[in-house]
Amino acid sequence: MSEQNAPRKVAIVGANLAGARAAEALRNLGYSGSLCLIGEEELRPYERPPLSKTALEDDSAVPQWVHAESFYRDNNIDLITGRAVTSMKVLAPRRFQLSLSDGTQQEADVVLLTTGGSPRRLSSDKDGIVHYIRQWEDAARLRPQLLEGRRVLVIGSGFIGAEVAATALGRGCQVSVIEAEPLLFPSIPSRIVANAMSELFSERGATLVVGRSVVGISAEAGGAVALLDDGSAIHADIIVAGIGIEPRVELARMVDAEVARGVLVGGDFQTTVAGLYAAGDVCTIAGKDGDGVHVEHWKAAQEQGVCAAHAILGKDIPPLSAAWCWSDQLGQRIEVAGTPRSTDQQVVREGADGELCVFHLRDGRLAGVVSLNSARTMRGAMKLLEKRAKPDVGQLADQGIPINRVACEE
Amino acid sequence: MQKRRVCPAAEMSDGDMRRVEAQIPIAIYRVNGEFFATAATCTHMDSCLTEGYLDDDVVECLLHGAQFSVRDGRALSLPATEPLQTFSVEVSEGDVYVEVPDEAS
Repeated sequence: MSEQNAPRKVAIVGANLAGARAAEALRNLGYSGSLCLIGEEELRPYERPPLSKTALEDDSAVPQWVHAESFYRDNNIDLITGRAVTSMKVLAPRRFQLSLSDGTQQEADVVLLTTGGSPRRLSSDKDGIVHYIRQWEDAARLRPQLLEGRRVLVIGSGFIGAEVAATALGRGCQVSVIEAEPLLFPSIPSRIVANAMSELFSERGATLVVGRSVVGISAEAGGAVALLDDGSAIHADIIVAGIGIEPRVELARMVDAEVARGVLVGGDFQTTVAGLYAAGDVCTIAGKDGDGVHVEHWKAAQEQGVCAAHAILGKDIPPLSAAWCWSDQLGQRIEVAGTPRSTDQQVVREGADGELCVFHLRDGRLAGVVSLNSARTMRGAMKLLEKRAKPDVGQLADQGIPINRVACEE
Repeated sequence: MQKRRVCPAAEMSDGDMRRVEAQIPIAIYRVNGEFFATAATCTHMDSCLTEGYLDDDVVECLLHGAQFSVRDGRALSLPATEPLQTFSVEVSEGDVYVEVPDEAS
Protein backbone atom coordinates (compact mmCIF):
# COMPACT_ATOMS: atom_id res chain seq x y z
CA MET A 1 0.00 0.00 0.00
CA SER A 2 1.53 3.31 -0.97
CA GLU A 3 1.47 6.32 1.32
CA GLN A 4 -1.47 7.96 -0.44
CA ASN A 5 -3.49 4.82 0.18
CA ALA A 6 -2.84 4.85 3.91
CA PRO A 7 -6.10 5.25 5.80
CA ARG A 8 -7.08 8.74 6.86
CA LYS A 9 -8.84 7.53 9.95
CA VAL A 10 -8.52 4.31 11.91
CA ALA A 11 -10.97 3.42 14.68
CA ILE A 12 -10.07 0.66 17.12
CA VAL A 13 -13.02 -0.77 19.00
CA GLY A 14 -11.83 -2.29 22.27
CA ALA A 15 -9.65 -0.17 24.59
CA ASN A 16 -7.77 -3.14 26.01
CA LEU A 17 -4.43 -4.87 25.59
CA ALA A 18 -4.91 -5.85 21.93
CA GLY A 19 -6.36 -2.46 21.04
CA ALA A 20 -3.72 -0.45 22.86
CA ARG A 21 -0.87 -2.46 21.33
CA ALA A 22 -2.39 -1.97 17.89
CA ALA A 23 -2.65 1.79 18.43
CA GLU A 24 0.93 1.92 19.69
CA ALA A 25 2.16 -0.08 16.70
CA LEU A 26 0.31 2.12 14.20
CA ARG A 27 2.10 5.19 15.57
CA ASN A 28 5.45 3.37 15.83
CA LEU A 29 5.09 2.38 12.18
CA GLY A 30 4.68 5.99 11.19
CA TYR A 31 0.92 6.27 10.74
CA SER A 32 0.09 9.93 11.26
CA GLY A 33 -3.61 9.96 10.40
CA SER A 34 -6.52 10.17 12.78
CA LEU A 35 -6.69 7.36 15.34
CA CYS A 36 -9.29 6.66 17.98
CA LEU A 37 -9.46 3.88 20.57
CA ILE A 38 -12.91 3.27 21.96
CA GLY A 39 -13.74 1.21 25.05
CA GLU A 40 -16.82 0.63 27.16
CA GLU A 41 -14.93 0.46 30.46
CA GLU A 42 -14.17 3.73 32.22
CA LEU A 43 -10.53 2.73 32.64
CA ARG A 44 -7.81 3.16 30.07
CA PRO A 45 -6.34 -0.11 28.73
CA TYR A 46 -4.96 -2.40 31.40
CA GLU A 47 -3.76 -5.99 31.59
CA ARG A 48 -6.33 -8.56 32.72
CA PRO A 49 -4.15 -11.37 34.12
CA PRO A 50 -3.97 -9.86 37.65
CA LEU A 51 -7.79 -9.79 37.92
CA SER A 52 -7.98 -13.37 39.19
CA LYS A 53 -4.89 -12.99 41.38
CA THR A 54 -3.46 -9.82 42.94
CA ALA A 55 -6.57 -7.76 42.21
CA LEU A 56 -8.52 -10.18 44.44
CA GLU A 57 -6.11 -10.20 47.35
CA ASP A 58 -4.82 -6.68 47.72
CA ASP A 59 -7.19 -3.85 48.67
CA SER A 60 -4.66 -1.30 47.46
CA ALA A 61 -4.18 -2.99 44.07
CA VAL A 62 -4.28 -0.71 41.05
CA PRO A 63 -4.66 -1.84 37.44
CA GLN A 64 -1.54 -2.91 35.56
CA TRP A 65 -1.82 -0.23 32.88
CA VAL A 66 -0.68 -1.01 29.36
CA HIS A 67 0.51 2.58 28.96
CA ALA A 68 0.85 5.67 31.10
CA GLU A 69 -2.02 8.12 30.80
CA SER A 70 0.19 10.59 28.94
CA PHE A 71 0.96 8.02 26.24
CA TYR A 72 -2.36 8.53 24.48
CA ARG A 73 -2.05 12.31 24.45
CA ASP A 74 1.61 12.24 23.45
CA ASN A 75 0.83 9.94 20.53
CA ASN A 76 -2.27 11.78 19.40
CA ILE A 77 -4.53 8.82 20.11
CA ASP A 78 -8.10 9.82 20.83
CA LEU A 79 -8.92 7.54 23.77
CA ILE A 80 -12.66 7.34 24.24
CA THR A 81 -13.54 5.38 27.39
CA GLY A 82 -16.81 4.62 29.15
CA ARG A 83 -18.66 4.37 25.86
CA ALA A 84 -19.68 1.23 24.02
CA VAL A 85 -20.00 1.02 20.26
CA THR A 86 -23.61 -0.02 19.87
CA SER A 87 -23.77 -0.35 16.10
CA MET A 88 -21.68 -0.31 12.97
CA LYS A 89 -22.68 0.41 9.36
CA VAL A 90 -20.84 0.31 6.06
CA LEU A 91 -21.58 3.69 4.39
CA ALA A 92 -19.50 2.91 1.31
CA PRO A 93 -16.65 0.51 0.59
CA ARG A 94 -13.98 1.16 3.25
CA ARG A 95 -16.15 3.71 4.95
CA PHE A 96 -17.61 2.75 8.32
CA GLN A 97 -19.90 4.53 10.72
CA LEU A 98 -19.83 3.64 14.40
CA SER A 99 -22.58 4.68 16.81
CA LEU A 100 -21.59 5.08 20.43
CA SER A 101 -23.66 4.65 23.56
CA ASP A 102 -23.55 8.39 24.30
CA GLY A 103 -25.31 9.12 21.01
CA THR A 104 -22.19 10.32 19.19
CA GLN A 105 -20.81 8.83 16.00
CA GLN A 106 -17.39 8.14 14.56
CA GLU A 107 -16.56 7.54 10.93
CA ALA A 108 -13.44 5.73 9.81
CA ASP A 109 -12.08 4.06 6.70
CA VAL A 110 -10.46 1.29 8.70
CA VAL A 111 -12.00 -0.34 11.76
CA LEU A 112 -10.09 -2.79 13.92
CA LEU A 113 -12.24 -4.88 16.25
CA THR A 114 -10.47 -5.86 19.46
CA THR A 115 -13.70 -6.37 21.33
CA GLY A 116 -12.47 -9.49 23.13
CA GLY A 117 -15.01 -11.72 24.77
CA SER A 118 -17.54 -11.70 27.54
CA PRO A 119 -17.72 -14.40 30.20
CA ARG A 120 -19.94 -17.32 29.31
CA ARG A 121 -22.89 -17.20 31.71
CA LEU A 122 -24.51 -20.07 33.53
CA SER A 123 -28.06 -20.44 32.27
CA SER A 124 -29.03 -21.82 35.68
CA ASP A 125 -28.16 -18.54 37.40
CA LYS A 126 -31.59 -16.93 37.07
CA ASP A 127 -31.09 -14.41 39.89
CA GLY A 128 -27.66 -13.10 38.95
CA ILE A 129 -25.98 -14.54 42.04
CA VAL A 130 -22.84 -15.73 40.31
CA HIS A 131 -19.68 -13.63 39.98
CA TYR A 132 -17.68 -13.60 36.73
CA ILE A 133 -14.21 -12.12 36.31
CA ARG A 134 -13.41 -10.21 33.17
CA GLN A 135 -13.14 -6.55 34.08
CA TRP A 136 -11.42 -4.62 36.84
CA GLU A 137 -14.84 -3.82 38.35
CA ASP A 138 -15.66 -7.54 38.59
CA ALA A 139 -12.57 -8.14 40.69
CA ALA A 140 -13.18 -5.00 42.77
CA ARG A 141 -16.70 -6.23 43.57
CA LEU A 142 -15.56 -9.73 44.57
CA ARG A 143 -12.44 -8.74 46.53
CA PRO A 144 -14.11 -7.45 49.74
CA GLN A 145 -16.25 -10.57 49.94
CA LEU A 146 -13.39 -13.06 50.03
CA LEU A 147 -13.13 -13.04 53.82
CA GLU A 148 -11.66 -15.68 56.07
CA GLY A 149 -14.01 -18.58 56.65
CA ARG A 150 -16.38 -17.69 53.81
CA ARG A 151 -17.58 -20.61 51.71
CA VAL A 152 -16.57 -20.03 48.10
CA LEU A 153 -17.78 -22.25 45.29
CA VAL A 154 -15.83 -21.95 42.05
CA ILE A 155 -17.51 -23.36 38.96
CA GLY A 156 -14.99 -24.37 36.30
CA SER A 157 -11.33 -25.32 36.82
CA GLY A 158 -9.78 -23.59 33.83
CA PHE A 159 -7.08 -21.02 34.53
CA ILE A 160 -9.49 -18.33 35.74
CA GLY A 161 -11.42 -20.67 38.03
CA ALA A 162 -8.27 -22.27 39.42
CA GLU A 163 -6.64 -18.89 40.05
CA VAL A 164 -9.72 -17.55 41.83
CA ALA A 165 -9.88 -20.74 43.91
CA ALA A 166 -6.19 -20.45 44.78
CA THR A 167 -6.52 -16.78 45.73
CA ALA A 168 -9.59 -17.53 47.88
CA LEU A 169 -7.68 -20.33 49.66
CA GLY A 170 -4.87 -17.88 50.30
CA ARG A 171 -7.36 -15.55 51.95
CA GLY A 172 -8.59 -18.29 54.25
CA CYS A 173 -11.86 -19.07 52.50
CA GLN A 174 -13.37 -22.57 52.44
CA VAL A 175 -13.14 -23.40 48.76
CA SER A 176 -14.94 -25.94 46.60
CA VAL A 177 -14.20 -26.32 42.91
CA ILE A 178 -16.56 -28.08 40.53
CA GLU A 179 -15.48 -29.19 37.08
CA ALA A 180 -17.94 -30.53 34.51
CA GLU A 181 -15.23 -32.35 32.55
CA PRO A 182 -14.17 -35.80 33.79
CA LEU A 183 -10.72 -34.47 34.76
CA LEU A 184 -9.70 -31.34 36.65
CA PHE A 185 -7.81 -28.44 35.08
CA PRO A 186 -8.70 -28.88 31.40
CA SER A 187 -6.42 -25.93 30.51
CA ILE A 188 -3.37 -28.00 31.46
CA PRO A 189 -2.81 -30.43 28.57
CA SER A 190 -0.44 -32.64 30.56
CA ARG A 191 -2.00 -34.99 33.13
CA ILE A 192 1.16 -35.20 35.19
CA VAL A 193 1.16 -31.42 35.75
CA ALA A 194 -2.61 -31.29 36.24
CA ASN A 195 -2.42 -34.09 38.81
CA ALA A 196 0.35 -32.31 40.69
CA MET A 197 -1.93 -29.25 40.94
CA SER A 198 -4.93 -31.37 42.04
CA GLU A 199 -2.88 -32.80 44.87
CA LEU A 200 -1.77 -29.36 45.94
CA PHE A 201 -5.31 -27.95 45.94
CA SER A 202 -6.46 -30.93 48.03
CA GLU A 203 -3.57 -30.49 50.47
CA ARG A 204 -4.52 -26.84 50.91
CA GLY A 205 -8.03 -27.91 51.85
CA ALA A 206 -10.04 -27.36 48.70
CA THR A 207 -12.93 -29.70 47.95
CA LEU A 208 -12.64 -30.84 44.34
CA VAL A 209 -15.67 -32.21 42.50
CA VAL A 210 -15.20 -33.55 38.97
CA GLY A 211 -17.56 -34.70 36.24
CA ARG A 212 -20.54 -32.87 37.71
CA SER A 213 -22.43 -29.89 36.32
CA VAL A 214 -24.47 -27.25 38.05
CA VAL A 215 -28.13 -27.44 37.09
CA GLY A 216 -29.60 -24.86 39.41
CA ILE A 217 -28.50 -21.92 41.52
CA SER A 218 -30.65 -20.17 44.07
CA ALA A 219 -30.36 -17.88 47.03
CA GLU A 220 -30.88 -19.25 50.50
CA ALA A 221 -30.63 -17.75 53.97
CA GLY A 222 -27.09 -16.49 54.41
CA GLY A 223 -25.84 -17.45 50.97
CA ALA A 224 -26.63 -19.51 47.91
CA VAL A 225 -26.97 -23.13 46.93
CA ALA A 226 -25.84 -24.84 43.74
CA LEU A 227 -27.71 -27.99 42.70
CA LEU A 228 -25.67 -30.54 40.83
CA ASP A 229 -26.74 -33.00 38.14
CA ASP A 230 -26.42 -35.94 40.54
CA GLY A 231 -28.98 -34.41 42.88
CA SER A 232 -26.46 -33.23 45.45
CA ALA A 233 -26.08 -29.62 46.54
CA ILE A 234 -23.21 -27.32 47.50
CA HIS A 235 -23.94 -24.48 49.88
CA ALA A 236 -21.80 -21.37 49.60
CA ASP A 237 -21.57 -17.72 50.54
CA ILE A 238 -20.06 -16.74 47.22
CA ILE A 239 -20.24 -18.45 43.82
CA VAL A 240 -17.76 -17.58 41.07
CA ALA A 241 -17.83 -19.10 37.60
CA GLY A 242 -15.00 -19.29 35.08
CA ILE A 243 -16.37 -21.34 32.25
CA GLY A 244 -14.89 -19.60 29.24
CA ILE A 245 -15.75 -16.60 27.13
CA GLU A 246 -17.90 -15.84 24.13
CA PRO A 247 -16.16 -13.67 21.52
CA ARG A 248 -17.88 -10.28 21.10
CA VAL A 249 -18.81 -10.69 17.45
CA GLU A 250 -22.00 -8.57 17.41
CA LEU A 251 -20.54 -5.61 15.50
CA ALA A 252 -18.98 -7.86 12.87
CA ARG A 253 -22.33 -9.54 12.32
CA MET A 254 -24.00 -6.15 11.76
CA VAL A 255 -21.90 -5.65 8.62
CA ASP A 256 -22.18 -9.30 7.53
CA ALA A 257 -18.57 -10.21 8.21
CA GLU A 258 -18.13 -13.97 8.36
CA VAL A 259 -18.01 -15.40 11.86
CA ALA A 260 -16.64 -18.80 12.92
CA ARG A 261 -16.11 -19.14 16.66
CA GLY A 262 -14.75 -15.62 16.47
CA VAL A 263 -14.75 -13.10 13.65
CA LEU A 264 -13.02 -14.86 10.79
CA VAL A 265 -9.82 -13.18 9.59
CA GLY A 266 -7.10 -14.09 7.11
CA GLY A 267 -3.39 -14.04 7.81
CA ASP A 268 -3.61 -10.25 7.42
CA PHE A 269 -6.22 -9.99 10.21
CA GLN A 270 -8.73 -8.58 7.75
CA THR A 271 -12.26 -9.90 7.99
CA THR A 272 -14.36 -10.79 4.97
CA VAL A 273 -15.38 -7.11 4.85
CA ALA A 274 -12.73 -4.90 3.21
CA GLY A 275 -11.23 -2.44 5.67
CA LEU A 276 -12.59 -4.26 8.71
CA TYR A 277 -9.93 -6.01 10.78
CA ALA A 278 -10.08 -8.05 13.98
CA ALA A 279 -7.42 -9.16 16.47
CA GLY A 280 -7.17 -10.80 19.87
CA ASP A 281 -9.75 -12.94 21.66
CA VAL A 282 -12.49 -11.89 19.25
CA CYS A 283 -10.89 -13.27 16.08
CA THR A 284 -10.44 -16.68 14.55
CA ILE A 285 -7.57 -16.91 12.06
CA ALA A 286 -8.60 -18.98 9.05
CA GLY A 287 -6.37 -22.03 8.58
CA LYS A 288 -5.12 -23.42 5.30
CA ASP A 289 -7.23 -26.55 5.62
CA GLY A 290 -10.35 -24.91 6.96
CA ASP A 291 -9.58 -25.26 10.65
CA GLY A 292 -9.27 -21.88 12.30
CA VAL A 293 -6.84 -20.83 14.99
CA HIS A 294 -8.51 -19.18 17.93
CA VAL A 295 -6.35 -18.15 20.86
CA GLU A 296 -7.67 -16.44 23.97
CA HIS A 297 -4.48 -15.53 25.75
CA TRP A 298 -2.58 -12.43 26.79
CA LYS A 299 0.46 -12.91 24.59
CA ALA A 300 -1.51 -13.60 21.42
CA ALA A 301 -3.78 -10.62 22.04
CA GLN A 302 -0.96 -8.11 21.92
CA GLU A 303 0.95 -9.77 19.11
CA GLN A 304 -2.13 -9.94 16.95
CA GLY A 305 -2.85 -6.27 17.65
CA VAL A 306 0.63 -5.42 16.40
CA CYS A 307 0.25 -7.68 13.34
CA ALA A 308 -3.07 -6.08 12.44
CA ALA A 309 -1.43 -2.63 12.63
CA HIS A 310 1.19 -3.77 10.11
CA ALA A 311 -1.50 -5.13 7.81
CA ILE A 312 -3.59 -1.96 8.04
CA LEU A 313 -0.60 0.06 6.83
CA GLY A 314 0.26 -2.43 4.08
CA LYS A 315 3.51 -3.44 5.74
CA ASP A 316 4.99 -6.94 6.00
CA ILE A 317 3.32 -8.72 8.88
CA PRO A 318 5.74 -10.05 11.51
CA PRO A 319 5.38 -13.78 12.13
CA LEU A 320 3.46 -14.76 15.25
CA SER A 321 5.72 -16.31 17.85
CA ALA A 322 4.97 -19.64 19.53
CA ALA A 323 1.77 -19.61 21.55
CA TRP A 324 2.39 -19.22 25.27
CA CYS A 325 0.34 -18.70 28.37
CA TRP A 326 0.87 -18.99 32.09
CA SER A 327 -1.07 -19.33 35.28
CA ASP A 328 0.01 -18.61 38.84
CA GLN A 329 -1.77 -20.73 41.44
CA LEU A 330 -0.85 -21.51 45.06
CA GLY A 331 2.65 -20.15 44.56
CA GLN A 332 3.21 -22.40 41.55
CA ARG A 333 3.72 -21.29 38.00
CA ILE A 334 2.15 -23.32 35.22
CA GLU A 335 3.17 -22.54 31.63
CA VAL A 336 1.86 -23.92 28.37
CA ALA A 337 3.66 -23.26 25.08
CA GLY A 338 2.97 -24.36 21.53
CA THR A 339 0.16 -26.80 20.90
CA PRO A 340 0.62 -29.73 23.29
CA ARG A 341 -1.89 -32.56 22.87
CA SER A 342 -2.58 -35.58 25.03
CA THR A 343 -1.82 -37.84 22.04
CA ASP A 344 1.78 -36.55 21.70
CA GLN A 345 4.87 -38.47 22.79
CA GLN A 346 5.62 -36.93 26.19
CA VAL A 347 9.09 -36.60 27.67
CA VAL A 348 9.32 -35.57 31.30
CA ARG A 349 12.18 -33.61 32.85
CA GLU A 350 12.00 -33.40 36.62
CA GLY A 351 14.14 -30.93 38.50
CA ALA A 352 14.63 -29.97 42.10
CA ASP A 353 11.94 -28.25 44.20
CA GLY A 354 8.91 -29.40 42.27
CA GLU A 355 10.21 -28.35 38.85
CA LEU A 356 8.49 -30.32 36.16
CA CYS A 357 8.69 -29.91 32.42
CA VAL A 358 6.75 -32.06 29.97
CA PHE A 359 7.92 -31.91 26.35
CA HIS A 360 5.35 -32.89 23.74
CA LEU A 361 6.85 -34.39 20.59
CA ARG A 362 4.92 -34.96 17.38
CA ASP A 363 6.77 -36.94 14.69
CA GLY A 364 9.90 -36.37 16.74
CA ARG A 365 9.57 -32.59 16.62
CA LEU A 366 8.88 -30.43 19.65
CA ALA A 367 5.25 -29.30 19.34
CA GLY A 368 4.44 -28.14 22.83
CA VAL A 369 5.72 -27.80 26.38
CA VAL A 370 3.83 -27.85 29.66
CA SER A 371 5.75 -26.88 32.75
CA LEU A 372 5.47 -26.35 36.46
CA ASN A 373 7.92 -23.96 38.14
CA SER A 374 10.41 -24.31 35.29
CA ALA A 375 10.34 -20.82 33.83
CA ARG A 376 13.98 -20.82 32.80
CA THR A 377 13.81 -24.20 31.06
CA MET A 378 10.61 -23.00 29.40
CA ARG A 379 12.37 -19.93 27.93
CA GLY A 380 14.95 -22.18 26.30
CA ALA A 381 12.36 -24.73 25.23
CA MET A 382 10.38 -22.04 23.43
CA LYS A 383 13.37 -21.34 21.21
CA LEU A 384 13.46 -25.03 20.26
CA LEU A 385 9.71 -24.88 19.71
CA GLU A 386 10.01 -21.95 17.31
CA LYS A 387 12.67 -23.85 15.36
CA ARG A 388 10.43 -26.96 15.31
CA ALA A 389 13.52 -28.78 16.57
CA LYS A 390 13.94 -32.56 16.75
CA PRO A 391 15.62 -32.85 20.15
CA ASP A 392 17.40 -35.89 21.53
CA VAL A 393 14.85 -37.54 23.82
CA GLY A 394 17.37 -38.78 26.36
CA GLN A 395 18.96 -35.35 26.76
CA LEU A 396 15.56 -33.69 26.92
CA ALA A 397 14.71 -35.77 29.98
CA ASP A 398 18.07 -35.12 31.63
CA GLN A 399 17.84 -32.17 34.00
CA GLY A 400 21.63 -32.07 34.15
CA ILE A 401 21.77 -30.80 30.56
CA PRO A 402 20.74 -27.15 30.14
CA ILE A 403 17.93 -26.89 27.66
CA ASN A 404 19.97 -24.80 25.20
CA ARG A 405 22.64 -27.54 25.10
CA VAL A 406 20.25 -30.36 24.19
CA ALA A 407 21.35 -31.92 20.90
CA CYS A 408 18.90 -31.47 18.04
CA GLU A 409 18.74 -33.29 14.73
CA GLU A 410 18.69 -30.95 11.73
CA MET B 1 28.79 8.32 38.71
CA GLN B 2 31.05 6.18 40.81
CA LYS B 3 32.87 2.96 40.01
CA ARG B 4 31.76 -0.08 41.95
CA ARG B 5 33.72 -3.33 42.07
CA VAL B 6 31.43 -6.24 41.20
CA CYS B 7 33.52 -9.40 41.44
CA PRO B 8 36.66 -11.01 40.03
CA ALA B 9 36.11 -11.41 36.29
CA ALA B 10 37.03 -15.07 36.58
CA GLU B 11 33.96 -15.68 38.75
CA MET B 12 31.64 -15.08 35.82
CA SER B 13 31.44 -17.46 32.86
CA ASP B 14 29.72 -16.80 29.55
CA GLY B 15 25.97 -16.76 30.12
CA ASP B 16 26.31 -15.73 33.77
CA MET B 17 24.42 -12.82 35.29
CA ARG B 18 24.95 -10.98 38.51
CA ARG B 19 22.84 -8.40 40.33
CA VAL B 20 24.41 -5.31 41.86
CA GLU B 21 22.41 -3.45 44.50
CA ALA B 22 22.46 0.28 43.84
CA GLN B 23 19.94 3.09 43.75
CA ILE B 24 18.87 1.47 40.50
CA PRO B 25 19.59 -2.29 40.77
CA ILE B 26 21.99 -3.26 38.00
CA ALA B 27 22.43 -6.53 36.12
CA ILE B 28 25.89 -7.55 34.90
CA TYR B 29 26.09 -10.04 32.04
CA ARG B 30 28.97 -11.95 30.49
CA VAL B 31 28.54 -12.77 26.79
CA ASN B 32 31.35 -14.40 24.79
CA GLY B 33 33.97 -12.94 27.07
CA GLU B 34 32.49 -9.43 27.07
CA PHE B 35 30.74 -7.78 30.00
CA PHE B 36 27.58 -5.67 29.78
CA ALA B 37 25.42 -3.90 32.36
CA THR B 38 21.80 -2.77 32.29
CA ALA B 39 19.13 -1.88 34.82
CA ALA B 40 18.12 -5.15 36.46
CA THR B 41 14.38 -4.51 36.57
CA CYS B 42 12.20 -5.37 33.59
CA THR B 43 10.50 -2.28 32.14
CA HIS B 44 7.18 -4.13 31.92
CA MET B 45 6.63 -5.20 35.53
CA ASP B 46 8.73 -5.36 38.67
CA SER B 47 10.80 -8.47 37.98
CA CYS B 48 14.53 -9.03 38.26
CA LEU B 49 16.21 -9.88 34.97
CA THR B 50 19.14 -11.72 36.58
CA GLU B 51 16.58 -14.35 37.55
CA GLY B 52 15.75 -14.52 33.85
CA TYR B 53 17.25 -16.31 30.89
CA LEU B 54 20.35 -15.07 29.10
CA ASP B 55 20.81 -16.44 25.60
CA ASP B 56 23.77 -14.93 23.77
CA ASP B 57 23.28 -11.16 24.16
CA VAL B 58 19.52 -11.29 24.80
CA VAL B 59 18.11 -11.39 28.30
CA GLU B 60 14.56 -12.58 28.74
CA CYS B 61 12.34 -11.89 31.73
CA LEU B 62 10.95 -15.03 33.31
CA LEU B 63 7.64 -13.48 34.27
CA HIS B 64 6.21 -12.66 30.84
CA GLY B 65 8.97 -13.18 28.29
CA ALA B 66 10.01 -9.58 27.58
CA GLN B 67 13.38 -9.62 25.77
CA PHE B 68 16.12 -7.00 25.82
CA SER B 69 19.51 -6.63 24.17
CA VAL B 70 22.09 -6.50 26.94
CA ARG B 71 24.37 -4.51 24.58
CA ASP B 72 22.20 -1.41 24.30
CA GLY B 73 19.15 -2.14 26.48
CA ARG B 74 16.76 -2.13 23.53
CA ALA B 75 13.38 -3.82 24.09
CA LEU B 76 13.22 -6.65 21.54
CA SER B 77 9.82 -8.15 22.25
CA LEU B 78 6.49 -7.49 23.87
CA PRO B 79 5.38 -6.90 26.56
CA ALA B 80 8.33 -4.53 26.87
CA THR B 81 8.47 -1.44 24.69
CA GLU B 82 10.63 0.76 26.93
CA PRO B 83 14.42 0.16 26.83
CA LEU B 84 16.58 -0.69 29.83
CA GLN B 85 19.06 1.89 31.06
CA THR B 86 22.63 0.76 30.37
CA PHE B 87 25.78 1.30 32.43
CA SER B 88 29.48 1.30 31.66
CA VAL B 89 31.28 -1.81 32.73
CA GLU B 90 34.97 -2.65 32.52
CA VAL B 91 37.51 -5.19 33.67
CA SER B 92 40.50 -3.76 35.45
CA GLU B 93 43.28 -5.86 36.96
CA GLY B 94 41.09 -8.93 36.86
CA ASP B 95 38.04 -7.37 38.52
CA VAL B 96 34.73 -6.29 36.99
CA TYR B 97 33.72 -2.68 37.69
CA VAL B 98 30.44 -0.96 36.89
CA GLU B 99 29.66 2.76 36.93
CA VAL B 100 26.69 3.30 39.21
CA PRO B 101 24.75 6.55 39.58
CA ASP B 102 25.53 8.59 42.68
CA GLU B 103 23.25 7.67 45.57
CA ALA B 104 22.18 11.23 46.22
CA SER B 105 21.10 12.01 42.66
